[in-house]
Amino acid sequence: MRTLLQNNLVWLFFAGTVALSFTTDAYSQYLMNLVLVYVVIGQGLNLILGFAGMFAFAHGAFMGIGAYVSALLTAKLGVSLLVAMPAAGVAAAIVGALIGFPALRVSGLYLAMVTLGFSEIVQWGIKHWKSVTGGPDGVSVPAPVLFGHRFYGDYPTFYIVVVVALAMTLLAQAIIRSKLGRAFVAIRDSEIAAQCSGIKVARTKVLAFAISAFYAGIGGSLFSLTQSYITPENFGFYQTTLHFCIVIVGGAASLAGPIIGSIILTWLPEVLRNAQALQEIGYGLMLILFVIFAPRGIAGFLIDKGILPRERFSLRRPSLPGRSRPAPQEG
Amino acid sequence: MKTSVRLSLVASAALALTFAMAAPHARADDPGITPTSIKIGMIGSLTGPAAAWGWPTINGARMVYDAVNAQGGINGRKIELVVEDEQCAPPMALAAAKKLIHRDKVFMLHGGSCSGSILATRDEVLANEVPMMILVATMDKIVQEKPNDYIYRAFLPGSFDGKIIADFIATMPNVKRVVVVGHADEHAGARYGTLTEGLKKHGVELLGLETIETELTDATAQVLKIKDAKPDAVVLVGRPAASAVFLKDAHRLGLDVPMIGATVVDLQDLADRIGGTDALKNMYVVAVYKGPLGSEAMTPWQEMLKKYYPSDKVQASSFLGTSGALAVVEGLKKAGPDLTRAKFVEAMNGIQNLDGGPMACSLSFSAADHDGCRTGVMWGVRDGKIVVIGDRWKN
Repeated sequence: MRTLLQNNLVWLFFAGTVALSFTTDAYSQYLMNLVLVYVVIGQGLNLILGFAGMFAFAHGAFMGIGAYVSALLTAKLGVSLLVAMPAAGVAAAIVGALIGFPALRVSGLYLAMVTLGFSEIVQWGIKHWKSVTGGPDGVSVPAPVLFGHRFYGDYPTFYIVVVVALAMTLLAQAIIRSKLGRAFVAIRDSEIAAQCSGIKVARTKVLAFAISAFYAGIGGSLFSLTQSYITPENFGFYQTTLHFCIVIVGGAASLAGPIIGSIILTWLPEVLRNAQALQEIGYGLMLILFVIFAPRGIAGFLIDKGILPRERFSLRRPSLPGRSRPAPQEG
Repeated sequence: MKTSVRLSLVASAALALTFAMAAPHARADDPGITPTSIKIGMIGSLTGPAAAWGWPTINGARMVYDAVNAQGGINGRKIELVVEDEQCAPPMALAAAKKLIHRDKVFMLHGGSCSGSILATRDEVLANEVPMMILVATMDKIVQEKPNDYIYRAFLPGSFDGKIIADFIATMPNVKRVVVVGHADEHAGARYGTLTEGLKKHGVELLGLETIETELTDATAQVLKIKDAKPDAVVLVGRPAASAVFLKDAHRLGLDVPMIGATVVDLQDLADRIGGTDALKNMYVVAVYKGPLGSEAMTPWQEMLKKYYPSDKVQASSFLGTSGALAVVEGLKKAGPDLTRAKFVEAMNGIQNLDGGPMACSLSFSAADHDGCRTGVMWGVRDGKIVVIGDRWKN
């Protein structure tokens, strides 16, 4: 029975959210919806950070692109969410692929700086392209109408969010187990060895960026539904830091990691609502403690203790992106 | 896979049954009212980038409720406050509003320091028909966008601020060309529209908008660029810290033209930050209070703050939320002993010419207009002292 539970934790998590949705008040339901949004974004960031080993620091921007594309398509052009959400993902993926090219030349902290700079540019663009994005005034997000039913409020939104989050998690699982996922891991562990094995390193890195950004774009679309109003403030440095913490605290290179991280980092600030000093230093302290004592996050700790099953390609030793030497450029 | 799906379905059904049995009972129509209490949820930026406005504005409103409670409450009910942090982050503000409405079941809300984040709560507040008094957020659309049957503001909104600045400039002799210096955020954005319209209307040429960061540490480049443009005056729509940096550098580099600041800043606060009034000799600021701190008009409010919150520093931002609390108290009194949200809204819509307390404006609301404060004051520095310049400036 224990093994059965261990092997189906992802399914159990989503089943649990469905079950809990019958008991929550609107506040808890909103938080649960946010958890699921961050599961999607976390899985995407985990693909590039945990599995491909690239220090991307731009997911707040990718999320913002997805949120605005989705919100503008539905609010201004009346496009169905069934089209707007994939469009949000694709838009973010295209931008992600473009940003992926610098990743061919830099790694580690330099890549972090490049992606961070890109994040700032995107936020500046959202703030100043007022005729399209509404600038600081933001954009109102209409409740989606799907199959003749209007999904307004936290509970109806949950059914969209949970289905998409489950689909995206299963897709992440499929990617990790595919040839592409193995290529990500090979690049993470040694770019030179990966190239010697016939992996097209440059193409795989760009793909990693595009797929990861696609996740953030879809997450952004879902996020806009949970907020019903989006402003540029939503997609700043704070958001990117939050995504990073979700993966690091939850556990990089583990499918369960972003789920655990999303639960903790969405609920913790709410639990600490009345302990403001703890909130202020919470993220920093948490990151320091995890980097020192549990560098593979909670998932890694639970795997070591035998509570979670060992996942294929999970990190077996503490490893930070950018430690491997970049391979020579192709062509 | 089949086992997984079956397992999750069984688990889901079992959990649903368990929790559904423990589900809370249906709530009453108008929550937050008991025979002895009225529960009000307050939302403020207690942490995060706008934390400087957090507790001071919250306590400036709370002291009014404390004073009412000390006198026995309203119609036998004491005001019970639940304070939540919004961190100036929209998701946190929405979470705070949902917690207060659905879990704490408050009668009404009083809050909002950051326009961008409090805007995120608007739909939730209106959908649940919860009356709300905005604390200090100035973005127009929070209150002025229709439909809005429940959200009120007793503070000068951003667009009025911009119009007052434009009207004031029109009275200044030999000022025909101005540069606007400000942030690219919702706070400044709320003022730019009416400011540029007003300048155009008065035939004043706008030479350009010079953007400054909220975390500005050096304004040399901006000041030199503005000097090259040779404006007759500069409009400053910056937050206090950034404004102080700009003014200090403008003084150092000899940018000696009149400067007009928005309500975002306060002259005394700027003098404290800069370390004197030398850099403020040519500065005018739209103010919301009846007089500077320490003046006769402000003394009772300063004493009230000291009485209820003795450890609080009396500062410019301390009383920004006070007029809102005064309006709420008046609305609760007028709604009578059989208090409901509908009666409270009706009572609020009937408030006319209520004294705004420390505010220069008197408060008037109607069903069609929930922005109750329309009057600002211009302050300037004369002989090292902050004084009121001219008459009140109305919209």
